[in-house]
Amino acid sequence: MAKVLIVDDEQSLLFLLQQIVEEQGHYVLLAENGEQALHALEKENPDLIITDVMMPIMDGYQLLMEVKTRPELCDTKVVLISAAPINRRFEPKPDAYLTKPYDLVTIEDLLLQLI
Amino acid sequence: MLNTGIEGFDTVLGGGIPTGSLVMLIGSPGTGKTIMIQQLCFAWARRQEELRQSTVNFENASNAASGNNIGGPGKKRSPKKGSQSASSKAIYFSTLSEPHDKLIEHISQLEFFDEALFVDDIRLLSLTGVMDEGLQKVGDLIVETARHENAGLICIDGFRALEGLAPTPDSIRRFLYRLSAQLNLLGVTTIVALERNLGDSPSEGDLTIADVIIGLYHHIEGSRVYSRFEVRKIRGLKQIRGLHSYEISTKGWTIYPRFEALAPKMLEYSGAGPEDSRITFDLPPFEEMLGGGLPKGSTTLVAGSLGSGKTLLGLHYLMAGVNRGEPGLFVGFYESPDQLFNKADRFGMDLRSAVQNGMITLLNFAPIQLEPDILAVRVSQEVDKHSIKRMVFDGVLEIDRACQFGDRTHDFFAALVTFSKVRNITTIYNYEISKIIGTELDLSNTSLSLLAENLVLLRQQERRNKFYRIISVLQMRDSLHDLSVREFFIRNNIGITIQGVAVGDEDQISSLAGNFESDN
Repeated sequence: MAKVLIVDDEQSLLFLLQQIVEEQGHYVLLAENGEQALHALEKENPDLIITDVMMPIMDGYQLLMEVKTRPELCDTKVVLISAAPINRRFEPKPDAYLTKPYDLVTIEDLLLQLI
Repeated sequence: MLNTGIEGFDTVLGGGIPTGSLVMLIGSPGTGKTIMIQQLCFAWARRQEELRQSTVNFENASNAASGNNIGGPGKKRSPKKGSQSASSKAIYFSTLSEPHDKLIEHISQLEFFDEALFVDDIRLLSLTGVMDEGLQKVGDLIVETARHENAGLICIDGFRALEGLAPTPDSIRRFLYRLSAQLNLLGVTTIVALERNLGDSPSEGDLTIADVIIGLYHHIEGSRVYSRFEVRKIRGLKQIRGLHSYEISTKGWTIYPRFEALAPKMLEYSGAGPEDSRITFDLPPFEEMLGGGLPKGSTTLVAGSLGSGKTLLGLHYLMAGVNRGEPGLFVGFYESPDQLFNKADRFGMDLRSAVQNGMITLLNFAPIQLEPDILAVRVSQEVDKHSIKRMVFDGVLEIDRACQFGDRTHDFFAALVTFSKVRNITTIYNYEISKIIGTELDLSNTSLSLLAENLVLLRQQERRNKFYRIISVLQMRDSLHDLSVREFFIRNNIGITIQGVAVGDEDQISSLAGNFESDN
């Protein structure tokens, strides 16, 4: 069982993804924006972060930057998700991209690969 | 994009239903919501079957190409539901509208029904078991089912019953928002049928969440019900706005897009060029009167009282087309094909052979509860199928009457004229005037004037205890024509023959003319 932090400002989508990941046998933490996610990261040490790109206060790119540039967090895997096109030239790069709508099989494959 | 599989629906939608949309289907009981939803489910299921088949074919072809080297290196690709390349189910949820056995009994009588598609591709489920537990549970069940059944299409029939579970209007809006967001995230298209008249509700706030809003209406006028359909809103596509006719038969739903909304712009037509050949009737004196024939692509109103020879003149016109390899279409309202064959036989025309070899198409409509858009679709289909060059509408008043609901006559006629012009079809509209003997024909300020680029009048005059038939060309647009009035005859085995100018003496012709010109 791995620890997965899911970050999305849309609650209904947050809970849906939570269900999907929990059904794969993982423990799930939730945050509604990048800032909340950073607070969670100070207390918990997740194996994987699945984060939406467009969020208020701190978006997914900023969260990615924070995670990958902090030595204590840089090994944490990050997946960027978005319904809009994702800027794939953004550095640092995430470990995977996921587009909406979700393909459940792809999510399952991704969890198997990254955790 | 989800193609609906319902004739005319995708046209009105502007292409289809965007995948992942929330569609609200709103109409009072009896407007056909359940049948539409079921038809969409079966269309979805059939597409999944085709996809599976094409995947099998592709894999067989790939295996053959690689020498059946199964299990070689390479990553297995996950099927993509969003792009509809994988097989996914259509799930129909009922509430308190109709028990499933009753529903199946009803839809099994429709042609799209296929029992074999149940279970694997279509599931019928009920929400009644969780309705007592509130909207949250209902939403959870729907989303959970969508995930575990790998749904691509979710239909919720009888949404009014779920509205009843909402303590406040805001809670139903929140329920729909959450449901729509979650199902959209899963790439599932959702169709919600709501028993209500679109526009009747004081608040349509819950509809703002919908990506597509469809209204179904039954308008009652006298003893007749007019079925109308509207795509009020669709995100991301340009629908054909306004009301469209629909009918539900054993085929299921057919939507007839409003003809005038489909017609291209009339002013784009450049008109018949001087080099264009004239369209003839094989009646040389008449062609002489018309300045050589009808200009190609023009519209002609042939006015005459009952029995004056309008239908026969129309048959002459179509048979002349047969002789020149120009396919013709006869749109009639009063005579059956057999009656027309007998009439043609009597006047020495082999209409039957012309119909058998596809040179003439007969399209007959009963002049009872005629829907103009159904007529337009059928005409359009025949025109495209047979590359029609000549058309005769034998009874323009029937179209006029059919268009009176919704006050569409002017626009419909304009669309009909445009339709024939852009296809370079030369068209005759037969117009029955009320008087057997008369000299008045005033089309000004009527929609019929749209059809009368050229105007031909057939009359009967009594003189010395005998009726004479006379023909005159009152108007030819952009073309010179003969102003004379001529006598014509209808004879067995021959049909119409038109006299030269000097029929009888000038006094007789003048008398036959009945001072028409001075009356107009």
